[in-house]
Amino acid sequence: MAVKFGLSLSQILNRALPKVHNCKLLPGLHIRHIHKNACQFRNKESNQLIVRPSAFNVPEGDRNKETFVEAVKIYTTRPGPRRSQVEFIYSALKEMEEFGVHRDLQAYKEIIDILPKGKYIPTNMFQAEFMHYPKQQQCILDVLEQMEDNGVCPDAETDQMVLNIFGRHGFPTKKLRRMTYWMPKFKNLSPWALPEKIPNSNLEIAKLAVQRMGSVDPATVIEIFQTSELKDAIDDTWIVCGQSSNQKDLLAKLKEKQTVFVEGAFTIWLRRTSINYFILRSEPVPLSEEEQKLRSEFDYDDVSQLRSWIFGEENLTRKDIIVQPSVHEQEDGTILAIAVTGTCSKDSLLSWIRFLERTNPNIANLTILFATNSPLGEVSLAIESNIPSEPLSKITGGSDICK
Amino acid sequence: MASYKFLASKSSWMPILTRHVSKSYYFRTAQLSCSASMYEKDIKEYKAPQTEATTEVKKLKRPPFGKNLFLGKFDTEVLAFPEVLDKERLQMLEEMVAPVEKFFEAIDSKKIDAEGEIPKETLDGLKALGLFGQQIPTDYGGLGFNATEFSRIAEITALDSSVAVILAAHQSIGLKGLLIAGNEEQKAKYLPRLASGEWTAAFCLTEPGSGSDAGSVQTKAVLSDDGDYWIMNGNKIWISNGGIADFFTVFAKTPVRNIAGEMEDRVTAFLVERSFGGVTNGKPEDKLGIRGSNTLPENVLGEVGAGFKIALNILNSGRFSMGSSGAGMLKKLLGWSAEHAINRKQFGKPLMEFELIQEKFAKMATTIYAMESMSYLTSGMLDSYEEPDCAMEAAMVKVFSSEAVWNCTSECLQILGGLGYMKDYPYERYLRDARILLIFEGTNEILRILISILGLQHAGKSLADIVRKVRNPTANPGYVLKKMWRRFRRNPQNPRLDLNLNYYLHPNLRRPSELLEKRVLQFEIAVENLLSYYGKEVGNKQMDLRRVADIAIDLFAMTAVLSRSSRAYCIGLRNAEHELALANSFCVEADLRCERNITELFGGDFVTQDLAMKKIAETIFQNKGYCAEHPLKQNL
Repeated sequence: MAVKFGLSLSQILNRALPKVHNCKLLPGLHIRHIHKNACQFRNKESNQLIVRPSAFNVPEGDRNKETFVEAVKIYTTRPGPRRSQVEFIYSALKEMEEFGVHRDLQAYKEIIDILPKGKYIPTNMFQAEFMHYPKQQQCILDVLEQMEDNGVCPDAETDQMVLNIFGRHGFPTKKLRRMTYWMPKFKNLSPWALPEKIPNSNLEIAKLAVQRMGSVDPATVIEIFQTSELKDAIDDTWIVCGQSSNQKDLLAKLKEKQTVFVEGAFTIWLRRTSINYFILRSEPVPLSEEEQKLRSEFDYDDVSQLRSWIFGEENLTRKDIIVQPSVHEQEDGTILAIAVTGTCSKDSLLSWIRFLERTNPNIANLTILFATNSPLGEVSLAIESNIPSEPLSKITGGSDICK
Repeated sequence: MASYKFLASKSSWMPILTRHVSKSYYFRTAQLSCSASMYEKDIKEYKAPQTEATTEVKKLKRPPFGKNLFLGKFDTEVLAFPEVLDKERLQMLEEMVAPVEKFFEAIDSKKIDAEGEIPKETLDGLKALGLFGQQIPTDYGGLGFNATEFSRIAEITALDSSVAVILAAHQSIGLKGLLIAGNEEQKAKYLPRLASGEWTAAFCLTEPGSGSDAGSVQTKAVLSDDGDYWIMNGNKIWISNGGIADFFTVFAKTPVRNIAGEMEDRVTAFLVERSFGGVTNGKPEDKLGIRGSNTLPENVLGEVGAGFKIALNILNSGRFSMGSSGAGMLKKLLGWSAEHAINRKQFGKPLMEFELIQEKFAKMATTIYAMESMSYLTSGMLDSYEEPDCAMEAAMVKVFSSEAVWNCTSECLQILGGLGYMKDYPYERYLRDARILLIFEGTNEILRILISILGLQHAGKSLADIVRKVRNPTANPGYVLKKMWRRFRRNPQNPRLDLNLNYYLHPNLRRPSELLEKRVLQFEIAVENLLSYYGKEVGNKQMDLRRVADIAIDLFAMTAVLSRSSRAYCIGLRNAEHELALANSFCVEADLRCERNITELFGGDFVTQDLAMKKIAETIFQNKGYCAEHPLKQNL
């Protein structure tokens, strides 16, 4: 019975006094289900108590994992009784991004490990239900929250640590276990798998990007060209081009003097890096009036004359069989090829078209229009590629070409 | 305090740790108990999880799964797909896999196939990778792989079947006897040389007059007059590695005094070195003759007269890896065929858009999935059970996967069309190589009988009393009536599902698990019927034994597939949804096969064609061949 009472108490309170329930007065009651949705209940104001301990006063150039771990170590090995652990953890949390360890499980383990083992484990039902040591529990919950936001999944050792600190009725333990249940699942949800670490080389990123976009058609072939092969290319760079046999067929079918467009640059994101790509597009081909008429008049109920492609060509050319458009023929145009070039310059695009011409001779008969109006505004040449540790780094080409 | 306990049990472990990860579950519970002791307030320091706990996994004592199916007992523990390897071991295996894969990609299988010989560089490469000593303990210079790791490597070595056969003949059977039954001195003497590949081993059982029947070997071994050595005489044929091996496990008849005190010929296993002299081999078919070879008495493997048991043990334990090796080969073949189907256009559409092609791919994928699951479930059982009794499961894996490999390779060739038939491409070679799988390591017919006999023996022990009473209704009228009433209440056509298998699986697998459950319950009834109907004669009713074996194989396959896909879905592996679809589809197909077999078992001769078949066969044998008149024949 007692348990029942403990569980429903929060519900009762929630209904009777929603305001009291949602504010921080009764911390034990509203932290039961910590997840993203619970953010709205949390006080958005920054913690006023944060001080910057001297341990983290490291000159800017030296801020890395080692100095971070060292700072934590200095705190934990200080002689005398340890004071203001929670404040230290909060300040460490704040500093993590500056030290570049905010996606490092080991760093999180170091700061969780600061808390003493055994002390905060509830010994009776009431302690378990009413958030024993709320400040400490909330602190570790915030650590876990930051881990979740950064996509760091706790491992078995973290589980043991938190278990030894708060026991199995602790809210951090429960949150951690929810994380270890869901995060591996989310990790594999995307149908476009990426390698664990996105490579630094732009060429590799370009390959991944073209591969991802080309996955709409399994027949897509990815080719890598070097502009140095062409005589009159100004830029010396690489081009990653994706084109499927279907797209080649579509390109070959275009009539003479028809205009095709080279458009871009558009952006594709691969986790936290982005790269620009270009497309070769032709205008959509609307159905002719005759075709539309045939389509509207097609009689699905007439089984007196069944036709099949099995009997050969003459059946196929009949107008009453409607060929399903391929995935490349969209309403706003037909995509004929995609490419990522090392410099994103117009010259490199020209080289791309020349390379395409080798396998698609029909390009010679077409009018090609280079559309400069990128939806992203002016595309600037990136002279230098610096891949900062910023969460969002935009790469528009770079000097690490062909490495 | 009682209510507190209730609270404790309520907030259980998170689902990921509960039942879907059996092995690590056990090791984590071990951790849990040690952390429970850490609850004491005076503990101030956090202790890292003990690494010993991860490497030394306690083996479990489990009842035999396949055999218990015959009694309608379902060990639900099997529905937690085994995770035998811990993280470190898995990583080590992965590091091993990469170079082996690279090595096998470089092998020119076409040349080996054409010339019928493996080049020396290839063999040296295999030795350098340590592949000759995979299951030999590290103390003797081997890699010390367990069954699961062995299976994983077998997936890759299967890419070249000639190499696969050499390796299999060397370690799956050739030196397995030494590992199973050898004493310390024998092991210390031979294993290091065998592990390094300096020596190759061969397994000599088959003779001109004895194939699958191990008891009928004709090779004789007699102790010399002074008792110093054995003299062995006989002929062995079709010995893989026979031409190149330096070490043979030979089975020969020896005179042994039996319990009654009479001399009797029993099979004994001997370890023979080529250097003992007298070993000759015929070149073309690698036919091997041992004429007058002298073997030292210390080279008797196990006990004198215990050879039959050893031979069976070796063959039984060697079979399980065929599932994974077949799957490895098929996965490669399926990849090639898929590429073909994507790029090849017919009637203006790529092949992949034709429904019949899609069906073929889907069926092949489900079959491969089942093969893999069965194989790794069995190897998991071998690794994690104490004294595993897996002869039946291994035979099931062998039967299922050899047939699957043959059918799927054939289907792949069908998809490839004329291309598959060309000698320039590797496809027809795979087809040729796949055919032998149905025949060696015990033909599938023999193995089917083995599966059902093993199961019926097991069932017979527990059902003996019931069967005796049921077969004598006049002596036990009350019991028989009660039994009939119970049977009627149980409704064999649609038994009440009381095994609750879906409790142990992800809810998405509820429907296929119910199919499995229904068939398990019906199977139990069918086995009981069969025993009471035929009594001791059941061993000779091979057509029914075949049905029993087929059902058992399908039940095992369904179990393996369900447990694997449930685990994959629960822990969120990549494409887990796809695995659910595969599992679902496989279970529905297997259910249909089971339905037919069970209907025939329930119906007996009224439903089946058995009597007619027997009669037809009899006529054919009397006429020594096909004896229907030619359709053009006139009778005037």
